Amino acid sequence: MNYGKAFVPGLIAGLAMAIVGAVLNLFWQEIFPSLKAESATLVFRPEADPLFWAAFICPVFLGLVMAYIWQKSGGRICFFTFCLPSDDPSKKDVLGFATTFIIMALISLLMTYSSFSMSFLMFLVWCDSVIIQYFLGTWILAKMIK
Amino acid sequence: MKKVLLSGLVAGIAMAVVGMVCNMLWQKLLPGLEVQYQAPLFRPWSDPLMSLIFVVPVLSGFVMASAWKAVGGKLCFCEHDVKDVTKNILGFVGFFIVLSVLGMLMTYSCFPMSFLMLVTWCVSMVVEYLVGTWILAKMIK
Repeated sequence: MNYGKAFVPGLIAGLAMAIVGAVLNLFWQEIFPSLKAESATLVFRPEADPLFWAAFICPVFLGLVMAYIWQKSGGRICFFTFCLPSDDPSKKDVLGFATTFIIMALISLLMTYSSFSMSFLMFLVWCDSVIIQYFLGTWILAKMIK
Repeated sequence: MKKVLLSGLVAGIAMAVVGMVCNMLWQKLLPGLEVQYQAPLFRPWSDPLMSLIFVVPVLSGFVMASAWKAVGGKLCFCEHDVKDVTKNILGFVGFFIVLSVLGMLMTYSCFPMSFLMLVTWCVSMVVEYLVGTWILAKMIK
């Protein structure tokens, strides 16, 4: 199996996820100005801190990891087949793969929400971004890795 | 299904306990951490939402049990005999660790926590996943 073939799709999926995450972040800050004010508090890392920008690199690494796993498993890595609505095998793969990653990410986000003094609105917005990013990333991988 | 729920619950509770013990050990070994936890960055223990940190490992236990039942040892990144339980466990744990470390890096980049705290969380997480997966491997055949 040539894992090098997964690199480019992973990079593209990761970059798409990073861009969508950044756009959604800006979008929600426009809709809910309180989020912008909250982001400027001491609870969050300021933009002037170079570590802040690592938040945009993580989705790229995630894209590469997802591509590697998709390549290895052929997209069939669903942990929760019993709850998927589609009968179409290709759609089921995308749904199952994305759902698996989304559920794990949401559990991590719940841990973050319970530990840090962030608002419930911020938590919801992050959950929403995670769901959209993972579906987009998985859809790109399904299209690019045959 | 009953087996998955029961093993997930046992693994999750074990992970929560291991997490608490690791946290206490780290705070004894590195007293600076205790001071950091009292900063306004973190929720105080008086906040009911803080108790969710004990629920999350149990939820993780259910997810891991469902995953172990569905894919078992097939998550290992290396080629191996699926009857090799040690490699099955390591591969399974590796999968969760890679994703969790990326999530933790994301948290580290968003919140002004120290690097030392990030390292302690990562080490505790590895121990928790190893214990949880070992229990699942024993309970779900």
